Amino acid sequence: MAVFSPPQVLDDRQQLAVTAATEPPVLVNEASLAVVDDYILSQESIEQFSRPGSPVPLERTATLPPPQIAPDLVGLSKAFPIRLQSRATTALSSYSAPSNATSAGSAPNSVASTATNSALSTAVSTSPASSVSSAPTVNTDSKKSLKLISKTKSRSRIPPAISSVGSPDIKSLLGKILKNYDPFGRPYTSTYNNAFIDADMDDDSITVFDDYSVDAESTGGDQDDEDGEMDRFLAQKKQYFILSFAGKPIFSMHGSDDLISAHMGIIQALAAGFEQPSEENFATETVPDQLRFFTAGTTTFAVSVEDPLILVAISKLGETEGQLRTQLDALHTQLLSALTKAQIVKVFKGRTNFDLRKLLGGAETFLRALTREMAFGSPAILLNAIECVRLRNSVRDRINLALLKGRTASLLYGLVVADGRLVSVIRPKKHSLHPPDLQVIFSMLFHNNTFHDGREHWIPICLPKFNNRGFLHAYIVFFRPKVALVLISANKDSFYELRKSKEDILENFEQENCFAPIDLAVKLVRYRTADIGVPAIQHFLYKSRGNVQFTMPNFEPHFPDRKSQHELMLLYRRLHAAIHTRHTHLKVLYVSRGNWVALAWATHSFEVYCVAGAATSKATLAQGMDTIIAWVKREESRLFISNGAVSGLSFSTKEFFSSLTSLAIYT
Amino acid sequence: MSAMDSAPSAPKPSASVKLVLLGEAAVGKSSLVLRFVSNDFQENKEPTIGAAFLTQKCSLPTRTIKFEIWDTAGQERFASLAPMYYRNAQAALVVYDLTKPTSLIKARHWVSELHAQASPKIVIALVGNKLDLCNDGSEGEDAEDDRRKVSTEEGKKFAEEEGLLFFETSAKTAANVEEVFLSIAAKIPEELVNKRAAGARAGRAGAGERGVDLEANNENGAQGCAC
Repeated sequence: MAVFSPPQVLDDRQQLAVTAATEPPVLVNEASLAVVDDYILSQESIEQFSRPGSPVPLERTATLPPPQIAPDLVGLSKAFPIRLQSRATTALSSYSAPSNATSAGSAPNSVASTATNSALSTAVSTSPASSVSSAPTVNTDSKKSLKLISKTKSRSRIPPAISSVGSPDIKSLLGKILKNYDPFGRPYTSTYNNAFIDADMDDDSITVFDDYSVDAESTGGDQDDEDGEMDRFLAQKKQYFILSFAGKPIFSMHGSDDLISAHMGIIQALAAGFEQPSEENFATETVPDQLRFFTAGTTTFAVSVEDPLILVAISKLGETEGQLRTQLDALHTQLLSALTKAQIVKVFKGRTNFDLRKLLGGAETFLRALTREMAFGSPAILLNAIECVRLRNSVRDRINLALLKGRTASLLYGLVVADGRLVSVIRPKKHSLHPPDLQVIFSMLFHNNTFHDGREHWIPICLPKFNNRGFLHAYIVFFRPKVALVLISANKDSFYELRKSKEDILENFEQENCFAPIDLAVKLVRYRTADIGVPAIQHFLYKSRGNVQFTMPNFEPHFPDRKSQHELMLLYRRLHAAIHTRHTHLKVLYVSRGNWVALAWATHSFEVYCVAGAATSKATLAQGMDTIIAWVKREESRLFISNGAVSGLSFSTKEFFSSLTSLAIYT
Repeated sequence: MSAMDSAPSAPKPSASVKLVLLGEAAVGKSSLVLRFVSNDFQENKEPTIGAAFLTQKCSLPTRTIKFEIWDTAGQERFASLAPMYYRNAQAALVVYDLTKPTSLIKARHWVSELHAQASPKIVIALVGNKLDLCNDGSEGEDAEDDRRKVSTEEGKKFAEEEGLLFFETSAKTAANVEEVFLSIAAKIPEELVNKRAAGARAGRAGAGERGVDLEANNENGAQGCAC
């Protein structure tokens, strides 16, 4: 068993289909559905997949674009059109018979959404299954890209069907296609264009107002001296809400209570409009519809109904529904880590009007830190993967051994985490760790100061992907300024035992000389692209799908400040979105814009995103990516943790889960 | 400081004393501890999650007390974990906010819960924190700045009724903070110290301790079922 169990958030159509086919239908529950979607995917279609014996379509293509709602569609009075629209598209997307949309039709679409600044030159599209090849106008430039494909062909064992188009052709082609394509007849220049170029993290920056803000203002109530506040609130590029199904605010990234309550009301009304009054949502066959996603002008809204909660992500940064949904899942996981699913369901049972904020008890800090991080652009959440500290095998082995020698009977998981990156993990034989659970822990540890006071902490924590019904207990201590030891147990009385364990582990570290490499890893942060022989590449992300881990070089020297890092992350988001658009076979993407050129490539085993300066030639970029892939392959055992230290303890799952603590609630 | 004046030459008996801080959220429990342990103060501290554990030695004329301090989170959602911290505790600091009357009500709850469920010999100190926000002395000039909502008499009376130590402190200005811990250390019964010291040498998981554990577990279990 791998150290990390495969993600429950599947960003790949095929993975979903395979999972659904091999597991009994009951396992395909609402929670996993909500995050699987790229956009609307109804319950029926999933059940169709999961029905044993029924043929599993590996790929579905649709002729419809993502549901677009007219820009002025916000506000209660206008809820009805949205409803109609969404129901219609839901019905359509649940129609799972594969339609005949060609890759030529869908691939340029995603290209257009990414490379809007017209500097687009080449799009290479490979299809694992079909061999559709259209408009084979190969110009000299794109031959380099072709070379890249053929080089890597043997590695991925995917017979690539290449369709390569020269730039003048694709531009005119795109214009035509998209004019016919967009039901609202909008020009294909992306609505997100501005957000991409101007995006900054200045919380007080006020940008152009759109219809949404005007509408919202008129519903906002008294405006006298709150105009400024409202302006700032509406100008935010990113917003997250958590509210109860009754519309009570639970969390809001920005804005005071007065400001947000109207918005919460609207969202509640919209979401509730889709729910049928059936009680047994998941069990019965008549599954209620759910509001998933809508846009208003350049603002996108993703809604996730996690009974009895509604989570909303609002973005003006041009993120896709899939990306927003991954973020909502992370937010939900963070909330559950403080309260458990069982507890939330319990407090709302019979009193839908319950104010959950009373119970959050300090968890707002973590939610706020996480939303800040996600708005900035977290590679870990974007890729849904974990980053590890690059260490020599012998060093990692020594650390693992030190952990193993110091472990005690009630230890479930042990982690050494340096500055948000995993150094080492110890786990029982039969239990893997889930990346979302780890992200929750990392976010708590490193994105706020709660645990940085040098004290020893003993906290109840729920790891929702491990078990969302009960609490585990975590012993947390920062034994170095940026390095934490986390020991997790199911026994709430094991504090002194784990404390002793910590002393033993640190003593082992001392004896085995483990501190120096950890300190060095913190000091150097990561590696530089120059170190691995690709100085032309300014930055890259490499995700190993099998390990559910990613690696990247330092942001410095090319992206030294938060602003440029944020812009880089936006670029990655766009690349990620293009390459993960459903219904396309686009797997290699070259983008050129203002200051950068970028190359992205996704296969079954990895995803790579490379960014270089605008002057870099395609050949250099492609070569750089090749070098990176080869280097990662060579360094795999240092960059990724494939197994971790297995403690050999085996917990009986049933007995173990029944021992989890549940916090009594006095309300 | 009188407590520190004693001659360090003679080996004094030393003992570990488990001390737990209880009280409503944001009354200043962590700040009191920070002042006592590091003689430091932070504005806008982030709320404690679960509980933080730390140790601090306190030297008395006749003995040395090593405090094992459990700084618990005041938030409601952690309330049911409290028995885990106050069981076996020899001392408790029940903290309220002088500017917030509801926090004294919460403090009363904690005191009665301690009397009902904690070790009968537990030393409890009632502490009204945020004295810096109260402007008792200077009546003339800044009287309107006085944010005190709980009178000294009210706290004192409650403490006398329940047989508690009583202090009004400011973690910010350090007023009375040291005194709270020294008084608690002084009030720990001698025989308890000796017994604890012996117990500590024999190992943490002493038989006596375990006995209390079981009892506390049972009570805890009963509570769990009730919900």
